[in-house]
Amino acid sequence: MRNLLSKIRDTLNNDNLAGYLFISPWLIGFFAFMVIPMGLSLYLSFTRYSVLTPPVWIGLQNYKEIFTADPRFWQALKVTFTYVLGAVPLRLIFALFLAVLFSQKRALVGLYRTMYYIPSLIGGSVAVAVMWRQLFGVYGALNSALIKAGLIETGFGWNTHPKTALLSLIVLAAWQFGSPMLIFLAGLKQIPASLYESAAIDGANWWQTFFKITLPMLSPIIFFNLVMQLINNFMVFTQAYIITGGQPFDRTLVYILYLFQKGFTYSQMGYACALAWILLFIIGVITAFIFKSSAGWVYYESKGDF
Amino acid sequence: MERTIGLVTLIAVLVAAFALTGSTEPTTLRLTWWGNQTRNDQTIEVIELFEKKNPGYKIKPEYTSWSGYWDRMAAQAAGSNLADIMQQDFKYITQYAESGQIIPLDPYVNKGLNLKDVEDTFIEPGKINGKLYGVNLGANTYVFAYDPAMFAKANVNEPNPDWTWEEYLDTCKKLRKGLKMFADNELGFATNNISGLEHYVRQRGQQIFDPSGKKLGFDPKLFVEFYKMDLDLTKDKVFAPPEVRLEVTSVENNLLVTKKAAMSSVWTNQIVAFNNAAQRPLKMALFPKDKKQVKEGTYLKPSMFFSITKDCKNRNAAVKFIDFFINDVEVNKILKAERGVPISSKVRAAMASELDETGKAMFEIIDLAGKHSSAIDPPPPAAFKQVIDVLNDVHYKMLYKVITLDQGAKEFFDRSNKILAEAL
Repeated sequence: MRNLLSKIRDTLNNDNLAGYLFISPWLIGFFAFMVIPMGLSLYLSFTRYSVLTPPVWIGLQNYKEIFTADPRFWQALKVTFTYVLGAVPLRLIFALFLAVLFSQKRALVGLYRTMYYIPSLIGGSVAVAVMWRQLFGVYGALNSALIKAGLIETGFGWNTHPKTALLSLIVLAAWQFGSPMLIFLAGLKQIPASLYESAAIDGANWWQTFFKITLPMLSPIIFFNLVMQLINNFMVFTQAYIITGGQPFDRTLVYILYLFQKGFTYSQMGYACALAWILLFIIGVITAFIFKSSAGWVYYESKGDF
Repeated sequence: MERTIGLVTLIAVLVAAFALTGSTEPTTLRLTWWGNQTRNDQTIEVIELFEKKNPGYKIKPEYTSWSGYWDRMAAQAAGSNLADIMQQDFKYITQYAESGQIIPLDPYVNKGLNLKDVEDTFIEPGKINGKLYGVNLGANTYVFAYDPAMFAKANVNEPNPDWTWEEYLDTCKKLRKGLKMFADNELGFATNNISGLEHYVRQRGQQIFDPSGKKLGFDPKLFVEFYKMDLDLTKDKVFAPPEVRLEVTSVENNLLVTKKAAMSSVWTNQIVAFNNAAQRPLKMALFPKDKKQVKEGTYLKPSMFFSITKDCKNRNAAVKFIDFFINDVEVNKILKAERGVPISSKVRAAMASELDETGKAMFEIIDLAGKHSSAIDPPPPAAFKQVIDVLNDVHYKMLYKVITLDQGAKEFFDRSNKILAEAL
């Protein structure tokens, strides 16, 4: 009896246990909301699961159907890649451009930084999507201005015309440049002033300084932003769901929107899970590729010490 | 020894106490529904009334919004833990009946469940394979809502119940001419909706879905005829162009509400919301008839049902509650036809004197529709939502002239038939 008690006391006094206890909120969350759902979703991707009836194991059939007999899957991929290829560079260029502007020491620069960050604070929200719908709607502000200026006669459906609907979503994404901008700003501050001073003494102009000093020194930050933005933009949902709903005829059917339709509208949860794993794989491959390529264009001052 | 005696006494007392409470334990039923705040409040008031009038019964309410409802029901069904009474929907009831989750109510009809004052058109939709699985809670139908002031301004006659498609199109053209605005968002329920096409197909004695549920059940020629009307009048700006239609996502930005059109197709229970949003009096008219029609296209749709689930232990009690819900005048005065126009003619008559203008209009149009309608088609197959999305897809391709009308008909039939054939 005494033996047992001392054993319990020893166990409780163990530092490891205390450590685990302290991180247990995170651990519970990690297992309950990440590991278990992921495992379940992997299992469900091999089943036919209508939610109402128990899942039925069908092996690779979902995957086979996705790749061989589902034109909407390819359409969703096409839309998503177009979106990412448009939105990510635009957003990063905007972010970098403004970060360079705001890194200069001028009056009110703090105020500008805050103001330009606001769109990103409210960015992914439903409210902004609804506002976008209004702004670019047939009876919206943009068309009113264009009509007043005599450039067009009747309102144009920027969000709804097959030629411009996706573009409207891309512009919205570019407009939400705030978080990469902040990271660029922090990165710019890390670049030693001595580099710029010696460049100035050597008579380098602004462009030379920018391309020879700023960009290389900032490349680790660009790399980080690129990876984060790629991942985020592949998973775009809210904006497309609210502004266009995939319309017209799937021209704005981004991948997650299609996944959502399959799982929740058509009750094909197994199929939707398979779609999710395919997207994970695609993002994984692209991220790995960028990591591999980074050796060629990312400059670290401390050569690989970490 | 003393302790043992004490223990025995204690047990005896406890047993006695349990036995006593057991004998007065009320019959408890669980009731689930989806709804909004108004419906939740009203239903709880009805439950309290039931408990007051029937001592010894207790109803436990469980309610959510529509969006979470079916996930929750699916989970409960999987755990054999469905409530005794569940609110059902026309689109889901077949699935639940065929998987044995809800039970046939035929043995209780007029033996506990009084349906004597209910017309057959109201009872019929709750039947699957000839058996009654759901008790209809209210009637609904699709109509045109229109602004009589705009009709007067354009000097166009208001619709009568016997108007034809030709007269309807003519009216729309005159509205465009007289008002210099759209006559309607679209041809009646042609967009993002299958009800318009369904109306047209039914008039020719056919139905959207084949009874097998494995393919479409009508002549592609009818698809072409119906959508030709929409495309032609859209070209003439009588109906709104596609980019405008895509933006009509709610009652609030419907073109009738925003005064950019004179009419809009609506379901009768939406008229309350339309009136509130439009801030001007609107009237309702039935969908047009077809010169070549073999039957009426209009039908009365059950807004929702109550069904008794297989997990219900005390079925007589559940029947008693449903009977109370549909036949008691006091109950329906609380409910105010929020679940649709009551199905009992006795209840309707008793309520008539207390209705406001909108309520009256709703009762009148349902009455009128009852005289100009035929029985509803069987519930659609489970994959129907996908078919509607395909229709929508094809329709916008035609509107944006990506494909022709004939190509549209072919694409709609090919894709829908594939979906229906592969669905379980």
